[in-house]
Amino acid sequence: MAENTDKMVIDGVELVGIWKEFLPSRILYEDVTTEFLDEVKKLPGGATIARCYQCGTCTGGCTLPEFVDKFNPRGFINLVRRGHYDILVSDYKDLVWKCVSCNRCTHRCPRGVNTQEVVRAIAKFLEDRKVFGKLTNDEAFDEIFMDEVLTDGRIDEVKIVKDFYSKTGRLKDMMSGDQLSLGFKMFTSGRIKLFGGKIKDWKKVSQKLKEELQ
Amino acid sequence: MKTVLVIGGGVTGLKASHELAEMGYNVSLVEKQDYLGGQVAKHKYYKLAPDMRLVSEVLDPVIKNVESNSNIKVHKHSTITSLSGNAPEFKVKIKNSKGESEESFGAIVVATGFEHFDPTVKQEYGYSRFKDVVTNAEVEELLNPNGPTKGELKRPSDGKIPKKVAIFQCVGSRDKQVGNPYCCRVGCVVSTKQAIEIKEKYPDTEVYVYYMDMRMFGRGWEELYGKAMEEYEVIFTRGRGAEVTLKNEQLSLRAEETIMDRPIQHSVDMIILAAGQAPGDGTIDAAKVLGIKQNEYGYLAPKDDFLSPNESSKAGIFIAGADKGPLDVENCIVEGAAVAAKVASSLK
Amino acid sequence: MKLGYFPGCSLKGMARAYDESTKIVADGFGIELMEIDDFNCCGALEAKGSNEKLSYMLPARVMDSAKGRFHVDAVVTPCNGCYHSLLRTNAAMNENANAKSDVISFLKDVGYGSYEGDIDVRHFLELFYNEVGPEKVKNAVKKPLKGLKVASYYGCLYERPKTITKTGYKSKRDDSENPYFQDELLAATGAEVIKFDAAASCCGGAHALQDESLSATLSATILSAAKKAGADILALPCPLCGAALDIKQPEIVKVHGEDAKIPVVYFTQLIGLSMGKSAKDLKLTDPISNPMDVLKSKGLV
Repeated sequence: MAENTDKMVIDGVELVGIWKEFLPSRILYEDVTTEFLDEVKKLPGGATIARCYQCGTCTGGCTLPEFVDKFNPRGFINLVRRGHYDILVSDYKDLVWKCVSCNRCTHRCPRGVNTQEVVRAIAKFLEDRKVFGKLTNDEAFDEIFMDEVLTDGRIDEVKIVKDFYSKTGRLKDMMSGDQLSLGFKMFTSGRIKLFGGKIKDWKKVSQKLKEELQ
Repeated sequence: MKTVLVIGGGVTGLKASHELAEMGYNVSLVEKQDYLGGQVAKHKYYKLAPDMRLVSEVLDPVIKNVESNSNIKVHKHSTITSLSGNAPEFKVKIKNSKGESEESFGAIVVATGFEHFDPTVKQEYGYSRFKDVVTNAEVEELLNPNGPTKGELKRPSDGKIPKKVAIFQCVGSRDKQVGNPYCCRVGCVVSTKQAIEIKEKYPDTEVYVYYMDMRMFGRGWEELYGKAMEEYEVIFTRGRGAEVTLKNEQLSLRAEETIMDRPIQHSVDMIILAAGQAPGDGTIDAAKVLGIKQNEYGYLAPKDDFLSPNESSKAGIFIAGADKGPLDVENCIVEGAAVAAKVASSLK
Repeated sequence: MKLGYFPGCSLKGMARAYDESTKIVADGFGIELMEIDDFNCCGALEAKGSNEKLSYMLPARVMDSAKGRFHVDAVVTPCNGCYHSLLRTNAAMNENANAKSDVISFLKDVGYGSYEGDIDVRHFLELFYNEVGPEKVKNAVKKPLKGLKVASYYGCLYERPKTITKTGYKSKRDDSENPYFQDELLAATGAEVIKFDAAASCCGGAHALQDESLSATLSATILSAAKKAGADILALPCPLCGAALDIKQPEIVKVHGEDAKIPVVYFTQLIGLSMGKSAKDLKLTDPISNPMDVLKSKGLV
């Protein structure tokens, strides 16, 4: 910190301040690379990323900017394409995963970019590089969901909720009065039930799907 | 009088000569160089956008049509020096190395074309200071298997194949500093084409295009642009190249990535300047000798842009192609045919 | 036309009311639904985020069963999410030869049929509008829903993205930006369908657990827009939106206030009610947001 608060004298006037914050270098010596683009292209849903011509239709009609400052699908795509990994991580990693999959972007994209899936692929790209330092809610949910689908063939919403809270260390939230009374209502009204497992050869199907997921 | 003078042996003049000869006119084609084909031949253009068609497939038949037609007399290495008389009885002096002769014509077609903008005046780009800053026309020659490097993109300084190539758009176009505020109309598609050619030949080489707008209005151009992004991963950056310097013996460019609001510095091995079109000396000389009007940039001015696009300010003198303003090869050929029709109807 | 009915997991769980009211309505109008009772989960958004091939294999197994085991001409689902997954798989199989061969070899490996991406996929709302339509609904009304102001909400994946729903391209599909099928069907019951500009907004349901506060904000925006527009009740055609707007409503109201408090039902429940079916059969007591009070006050139950 010492260097940040050094004194500086300009035209005989002594100034004290945090200089690095006052005078940030805006020129970025960068190495533009398509390495990350290639990586995202290979992730599920990422294939169409390179079609983007940066028109902004996606961000312009996006559900989120009204609620999430700086949420910008077009911008995420640009950062990946130009290889600005550091900026993606430092400025946008907590935003990318917030997409709610409303599909307005994909619906309207004039270049045929599957924007919603591309944004998910970018989030996955960051997850795979462990930039979040922990299991994200999305990863946890996807894992639980897929695990249940592959095991039983169908999902049981209550079980998913319980497993999700448990996996993300929030079981006590689930034990709140509201949640318990909700669960009680669901149970007594017969909306929580076990699936009998009628799917022919599900074990075989499941085995094959699990192999695919590996 | 059924004799027509066509000035300029580029694609426009060749097409006009051929169409007129086919309609029964006697044509004298005057070309100042000792070859036909204009800029296309001069710079050994190799492939044409958007179909990546070999230039020879287009240019060779156009030339052959002229050379094999007995109604056409080709004067290579020739220029016109004076004009007298009026339509349809013009007398024109044609000069070559052997001397000067006067001939009579019923009509005159001016198809003197363009020349590539000379980027030396854009001193911030360092063309002529840095060997590896080259023009798009020079790249055409480099990529041509019949060119000096047999089709290899060897950079001039050391003959190595560049690993990173930047292309600057709008060099000498959309630029009031150099007196060319207009769009060159072909730079975008030519650069996109060259980027694809480079990526096809050298998949490991990265190609970056620095542009203000990609103006892909021609047939199949927008699709080619999409292909460059999608299939070849050419990186298009919105922001005009600002300057080129040498850092540690390597070319370094500065630009603003305007989409992200970020000034950047980027090291590359070679920079291609997409030099625009300017009216050539041939066009300026012809305008002077014939006494026809030019526009504020030096291009030939039609009598009426909408209603008489192929007529000059003087009756009986017709204009066509890239001497009226920047134009691509495909549309130069259309212009050549259009002007021939107009000449024929005026001489009927 | 033989129709295979694919309810999806939610309709066999929390959205039981949607399942049962759909069957009641279909039955009442002579639409024969053959339930694909061995269905598996479509994979929802999670499969497509996890593994591309897998995200086609799961829906393909359902459609293969529909075709091979039940011999139906079309699969109809009342769930926006399942609708999306099935259409997306067909689109991939028809537009991408690799996706198609992956699916075909998977089905072969597990001893299933040879589904080729060619079964017609319908959303129950769209099917009901096209095959029955507002006119017949009007004629079948036994108990007009007079005086009930309804906000008609559609959710996202019913009309989007058009690359796979073909809204705007296929004449039978709803308007992709301003859907109206449900509005007209509900208006035919005698209810007053109010003007409501959040009809195709996103409820955030896909992130109801992963990003609770944002999801709640998006849901609250829709609920309060409906209430502000004067609606007594909100009707919808999607179980995931149902979970977000109904089951989560008590939590939403806690944060966003009473403006977001409005009963939420499935559109089939209201149509069933107008046909004179009982609130009990239509499971109108199921919703957490308690539609019974307002229906009672209007004399409808």
